[in-house]
Amino acid sequence: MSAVRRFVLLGVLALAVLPTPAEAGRRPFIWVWDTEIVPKGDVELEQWLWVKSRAPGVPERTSNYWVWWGPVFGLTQRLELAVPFQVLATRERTQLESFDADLRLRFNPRGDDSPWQGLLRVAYHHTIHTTQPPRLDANLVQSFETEGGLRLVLDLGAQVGLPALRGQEGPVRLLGTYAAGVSYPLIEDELRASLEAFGEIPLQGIPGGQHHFVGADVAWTFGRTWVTLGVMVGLTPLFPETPQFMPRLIWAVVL
Amino acid sequence: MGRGALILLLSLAAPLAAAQQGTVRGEVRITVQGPDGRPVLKADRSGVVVYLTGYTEPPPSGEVNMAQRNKAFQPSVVGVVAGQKVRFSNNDVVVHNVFSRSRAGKFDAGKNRPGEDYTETFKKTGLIDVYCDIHEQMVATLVVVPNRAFAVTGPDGRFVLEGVPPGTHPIFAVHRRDERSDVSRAEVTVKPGGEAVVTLELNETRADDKHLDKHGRQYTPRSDAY
Repeated sequence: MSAVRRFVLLGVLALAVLPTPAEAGRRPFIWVWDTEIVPKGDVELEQWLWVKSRAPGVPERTSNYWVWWGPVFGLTQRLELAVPFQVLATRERTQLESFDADLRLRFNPRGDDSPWQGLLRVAYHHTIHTTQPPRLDANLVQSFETEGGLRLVLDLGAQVGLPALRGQEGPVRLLGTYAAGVSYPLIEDELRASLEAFGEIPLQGIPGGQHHFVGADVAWTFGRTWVTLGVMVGLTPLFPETPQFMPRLIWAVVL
Repeated sequence: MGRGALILLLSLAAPLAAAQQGTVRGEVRITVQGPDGRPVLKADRSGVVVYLTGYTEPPPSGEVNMAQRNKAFQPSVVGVVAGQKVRFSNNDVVVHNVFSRSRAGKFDAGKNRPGEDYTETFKKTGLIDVYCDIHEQMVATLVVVPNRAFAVTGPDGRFVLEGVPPGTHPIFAVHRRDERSDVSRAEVTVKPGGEAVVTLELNETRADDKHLDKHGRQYTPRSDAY
């Protein structure tokens, strides 16, 4: 079964078991981090299903399927904490891949009416059953929203792989990331359509080339739930090591 | 014309323009259904927001405060100018989660402990039903209006709108007590520096305070300890 067909099947199954009546996406993008956070005192259960398909430039690399699952806590009017784990499936095996502690700090409190909002994301990604080292992620996110609801977001990040944290030898790995998105409300507070771009640039200690993607998303908020579904398409003709497709389904339910 | 002369002219023109503004004075009469089914005038006519439309003004710089105290909003009816900030202060001894699902100003303040507050800016005109996600009995109304010519009536139902530009303006009275609002509309003509008098009639519908929580579900019964 192809990566896309398997992802669509998983998505349909996931939607079928969603709780009744849902309300609009808190994050309208599948890859770009945004500046909205969970209201203080609320807990959201967030799940992702996503796939990284094969890349023509790396034929030995198989498609990977991830399930990301975790609660997200609104700690204050500026800060939320997610503590997810990820399960990785390939054609050969399915296993627990990582745990994260993911903090997102808004520069202005929720309710601030400035069209410009900033957010700092800092995460520790602890890997298990994988050759990848634990890593620290940091993202600086800036959003701008017009009166009409048009939303522009820029997300610049870095991932620092630290082999020494697992007693491994090897240099510190450094990956630069960028992501940018534009989102427009089709139905106010309920339905958004978005376009986004994402890229990964190895800076130190990471074999392989750059990955660059563009994609489209749709985000729906209904009741206690928000759902964002999208596909990133790799710029494979220009960067052959870029996977061809990265579809992702995110859905979250407020507990 | 020299710069000094221009400043002098402007400084003379400003009070002149203010003097051109008029006043609207009036009364709201509320009719309710009596015990015998016949309409009678309601004694307490407080909590009606009276406002003019047809022109816009910038909002005042100050915030409006809507506190939570003794598991109630105080005040429970507030008028604000579009673009103005409203601070929701928890002056109670329990946690509150103020929210609105109204189209004109959807927001969720999150769970705020005693002493904490949350500020929201309301940019669209309209009626905003404000509730607490924890205490179903807590109900309040924000009426977001386009200009500063508004008032909230006291028990006698009387109001005064000052600083009204000359002309004919629609005037509204909104008495919101549940999901359905009682609205009265009329027109008032204000002459330069003059005073217009208007009486607005409202027919009060039966109150129905049932509403849903912030996620659109029925409230879960809670112990009164919360």
